[in-house]
Amino acid sequence: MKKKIELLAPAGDLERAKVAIRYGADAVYLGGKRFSLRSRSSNFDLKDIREAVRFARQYHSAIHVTVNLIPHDEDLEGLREYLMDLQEAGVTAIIAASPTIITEARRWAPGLQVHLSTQMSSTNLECIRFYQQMGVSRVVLARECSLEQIRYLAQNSPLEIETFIHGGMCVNYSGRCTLSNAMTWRDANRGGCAQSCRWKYHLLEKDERISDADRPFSMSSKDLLAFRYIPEMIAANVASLKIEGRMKSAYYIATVVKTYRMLIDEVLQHPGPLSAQQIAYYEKEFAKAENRPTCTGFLDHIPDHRDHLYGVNGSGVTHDFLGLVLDYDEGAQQAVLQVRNHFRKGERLEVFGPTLVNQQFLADEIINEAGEQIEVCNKPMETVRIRIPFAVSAGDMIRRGQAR
Amino acid sequence: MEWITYYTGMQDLKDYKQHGITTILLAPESLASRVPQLNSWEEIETAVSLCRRLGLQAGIMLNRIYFDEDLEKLEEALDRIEALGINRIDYTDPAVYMRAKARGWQSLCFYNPDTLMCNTRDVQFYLDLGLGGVILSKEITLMEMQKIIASVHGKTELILFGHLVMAYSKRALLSAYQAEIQSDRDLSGKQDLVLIETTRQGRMPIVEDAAGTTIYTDYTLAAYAELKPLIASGAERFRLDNHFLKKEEFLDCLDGFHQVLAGQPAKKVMEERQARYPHLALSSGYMHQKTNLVKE
Repeated sequence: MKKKIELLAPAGDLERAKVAIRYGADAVYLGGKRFSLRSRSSNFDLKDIREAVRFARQYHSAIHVTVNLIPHDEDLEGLREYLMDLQEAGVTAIIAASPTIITEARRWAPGLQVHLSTQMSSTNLECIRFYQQMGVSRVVLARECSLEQIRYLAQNSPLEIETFIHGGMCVNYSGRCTLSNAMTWRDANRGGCAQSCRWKYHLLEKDERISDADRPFSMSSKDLLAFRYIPEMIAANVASLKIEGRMKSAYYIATVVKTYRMLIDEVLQHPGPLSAQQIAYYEKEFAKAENRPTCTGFLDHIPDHRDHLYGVNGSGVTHDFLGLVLDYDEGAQQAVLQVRNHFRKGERLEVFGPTLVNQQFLADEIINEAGEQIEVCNKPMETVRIRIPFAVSAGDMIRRGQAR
Repeated sequence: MEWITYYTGMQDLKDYKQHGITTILLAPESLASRVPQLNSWEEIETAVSLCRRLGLQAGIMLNRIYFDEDLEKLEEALDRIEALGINRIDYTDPAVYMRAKARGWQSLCFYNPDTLMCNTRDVQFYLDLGLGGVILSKEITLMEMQKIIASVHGKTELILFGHLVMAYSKRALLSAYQAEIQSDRDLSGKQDLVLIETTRQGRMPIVEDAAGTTIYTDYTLAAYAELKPLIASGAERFRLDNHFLKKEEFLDCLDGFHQVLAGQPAKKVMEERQARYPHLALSSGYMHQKTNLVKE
C-alpha cells in the first residue's frame, strides 16, 4: 500500500506543537536549545521535546528535531549526548546538514532517522545518492526545484523526498548566504539570520544610480503558497509536505495546518487536479493566516518581478485571531474563551478547530470573570464566557474577518 | 606552496606566472559561476595548453548547483577534462564528486561549498573521501582556520584575497528589478554593478548571469597579516580571487603576499595598498571577527 503523504508543520514552542498536531499535522519539526537554526523561535528543552513526543503519539503524529546548524568546532561539544537524548525521548527524526552531525547520529543514535536539511541545496539524483551513502533516509529538496524536477526526483530517488509547500522563502540558495554575517555579524548558518535580503538597496552602474529612488532594489521574496500543486505532489510519491515557519503564531499554524489537512484529505479521497471552485475556496482559507503576499516559488517558473517585494514587506492579514476556546458548556451553550484580541458584542465571528470547519455566530452575550455582561473584550488573556449556539471544543479558535 | 587564481584571458597568464601564481582555474560556460569570466571549451583548451607551456597547473571550476538535466553536460565536461589532462576540479555539488568517483578521480576533486566547511570534523569527513582538497569557509576566523589546518589529515586551501561571495541565487534578481521599475537596460553579465544598502556606504558588487545572481562583499579580503600564522599552522595552498580587480591592482596585491613572505611587515604591506587602492576597501574580513551574534 502506498504510504500516506506526511503533512509536516513547524512549531516554536510546546503550545504551538500541540496546536499543529491537534489541527492535523502528521509530524512537527522543532528546534532544541542547541544545534538548531532559528535561534529566536523559542526553542525546546529536552523536557518539552519529551512532552511533544508524548502528545504526538496520542495523535499518531511524529516529532522531528532540527539539528541543522553548520557547526564550528566550538559548537560540537555535547553533540553525542544530545543525539542520544533525542533518541531516548522518542524523537522520530533529526534534520541535519553537517556530515559530522549526520554520522554521529547514525553511530550513537541509530533509532533516529536522519533527514538532510534544505541547507545542503539538494537538486539532483546524484547528490541524493551521495547523501544516501552517508546514512540519510530523507532529503529535503532545495526550494529552487521546479514541480517537474520534484516529480522526477520523488519518482526516482532511493530516499524519501520532502519538499516545502508553504511559507517564507530564502531568495538565495539556503546555507550559502552570508548577507546577514557581513551586515550584522549574525551567522545565518547558526541561527542568526537578520534577513538582510529584505532590506532596501541602491543599485549603481559604475557611479550612476540606476535604481528607482522611490522603489529601491530589494531581494525580498514573496512567500511560497503551493497548495495548487498538492495533487501532483501526492501523485509523484513525495513523502512529506513541509510548512515553513517555526517563528509563526499558534493561530497561523492552526489555520495553515487545518487548511492543508482538509485539502490533502480531499485529494486523497478524490485524486486529480483541483477544480476552480476548490482553488478559490482554499485560497480564501489560506488568506485567513497572516502571510506576506504569496507566489508559487520555483514550482512553475523561475521567480520574476511579480514574485518579489520591492515596497512594503508586511503581512497581508484578512482575519484577526480573537480568542482560544478553553471549554464549552453544552447546557448553557457557553464557551469559556481566552481573549487574544479586541472585539465587541454584536460582531459576527467565526470558529474553526481540529474537527470544526468555519462556523459563524453572532457574539450577542459576553460575560466577564466577575459575572457581568460586557460590551467589549479588550484585555488580552482575560477569560470570558461567550454564547455560541453550537458545540465547540477546547482548542478551537475564534476569528473575525476584516472589512476590505 | 600553491598560489591559485582565476583565468582572466590568455594575455594575463604569463604575468600571473611571473608574479608567483602556480594554478589557474578555468570556468566552462553553463557549468561554472561566481568567476571573473566564463570560457568556451575551445578557449579552455588553448589556455590549458599555454598554462602547460608556462609551467602553470590548470583546474576546472564545476561549481554550480546542478539539476538532473545538467548532468549530461557535466559528464561531457568530465570527458573533456580527461582529454585535457586537468590537474584539479573544483566543485560545490556532490553530483560532481559522484561522477568523478565513478572514474576513479576523487583525488582530482576539491570541495568548495563556500560557507559550509567550518569545523575540523566536517573537513576531515570530506578529505576521507579521498578528495584532493577542501577549501575552508571564508566566514571562519584565523584561529578556527589554524585549528582545522593543524588537525586534519589531507590538503586544505584558504581564500586569502578578493571580494568574497556573500550569496547566490538561482533568480535573475537584476532582470526582475528592471522589469519592476520598467527599465529596458540589460544588466545581465555586467561586471560593474554594485549594491549600496540605503543606510550604509559599502559598495557590494552584484552580477547576474545564466546561473542566477551573485552578490559579493563590499570589501576586498587581503589577509597579509594572517599569511605567516597560517603557514606556521601548516597551510600551503592559497586562493586569491581576481574578480572585479584590474590586472595591475591584482598583481600588486599579489606581490604583497610575497613581500610578507620575504620579511616585510604585513601591516606596512597592507597600509601601502590601502593607500594606493582605497576603492578596494582592503580588509581582514572575518579573520578576527566572529559572526555568532544572535538577536536578543
